[in-house]
Amino acid sequence: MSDDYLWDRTGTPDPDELYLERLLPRVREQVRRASVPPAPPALSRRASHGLAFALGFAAALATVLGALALWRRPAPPDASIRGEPAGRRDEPTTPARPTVAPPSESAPSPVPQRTTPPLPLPARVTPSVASAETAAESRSPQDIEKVVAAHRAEVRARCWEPALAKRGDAGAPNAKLRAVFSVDRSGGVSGVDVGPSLADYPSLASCVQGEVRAWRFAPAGEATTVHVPFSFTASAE
Amino acid sequence: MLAERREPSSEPEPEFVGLVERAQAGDRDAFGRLFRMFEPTVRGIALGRVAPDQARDVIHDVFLTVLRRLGSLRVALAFPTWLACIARNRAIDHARRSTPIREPDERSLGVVSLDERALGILREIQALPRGYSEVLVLRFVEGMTGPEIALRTGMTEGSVRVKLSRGLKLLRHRLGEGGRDVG
Repeated sequence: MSDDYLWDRTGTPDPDELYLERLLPRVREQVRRASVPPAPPALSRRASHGLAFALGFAAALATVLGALALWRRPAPPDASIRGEPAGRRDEPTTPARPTVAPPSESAPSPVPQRTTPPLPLPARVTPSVASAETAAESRSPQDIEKVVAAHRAEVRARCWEPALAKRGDAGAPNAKLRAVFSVDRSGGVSGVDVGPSLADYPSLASCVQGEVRAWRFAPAGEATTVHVPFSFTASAE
Repeated sequence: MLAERREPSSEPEPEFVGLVERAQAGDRDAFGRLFRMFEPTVRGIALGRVAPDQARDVIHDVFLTVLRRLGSLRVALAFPTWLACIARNRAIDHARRSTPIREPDERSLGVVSLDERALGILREIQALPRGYSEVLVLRFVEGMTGPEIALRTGMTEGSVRVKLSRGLKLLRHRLGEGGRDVG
């Protein structure tokens, strides 16, 4: 196979390469998440301390001035009806927090910043999985288990029992498979892998693969990778 | 190896050369631009050896070292090679004193998030021989092409091409051992 796509993204891409290209940029997001809160350099830390002091002082001053103003104003008529202390309604329940950019971003220091700027490189393949990350909800294990449980009997009846009948008395009376697959946001199944076919039951793996591929899950905000073990025995699954 | 070296005279001077010279003269803005330009490379080299939660520390250490020692760099064109060397050494230092990426829990019915899956594959990449892991991370995590990897790390294009191809083959082999997880 040509390595052109691997080298410079020309030519025909290999499915594995596309999968890695979609999946692995998530690691960058993990680096980004791990960097919060940032450890600012010394200069920025001093600046942030000064800023924190100034903001604290401003907040205290605002509180005193607000209290003074309320003390001088008559209480609103309905405040006493509801039994609220005079002035409570005008008081902000929680003081608005100042939005302060992280010191390392605002300080004009050449020391590496803790944010990741745009990559000054040519455009790359847009990872479709990255957009899924921002979507609303993911599937719970219970959602997955429900669908899997609903199909186990079918798999046994359609795959294991015919395979067992073909085998006759020879070979092991049991078989184990592990299906790994992706469930996309619409609930469709793709990339079903059940490992190599078993010597005693050569048709079992491909049959299970076909069954799993037809499963449908509820739509969700992000794609999910699922592992399902199948353990078949001659007497019971 | 030597025969594969790029001929700097036949190509326009890379953008970073001017930035390095300006940064050496004390231009902080130029240093900031160098940082933005090369941060993905350093992050990729770091992720070839350490977990994502430590990569940020490696990046920080590397650029602090660069800031301190940039004046000692004699040939600006050698900046990528010099930087990559610092990054590899820092990543190795961090990897020695850090815990590896932890294995996900084994579950009978596992719903593995894409983040966990990505970490699992990164762990397999990190287990590859040195050199292979670095180019694979730069290619698939950072999204660089082979020529970009060569430009940003100072490696020859031939070397990058071979490492990408063999590295992916080795990765397929490793993933195949425990069940084909890719694809």
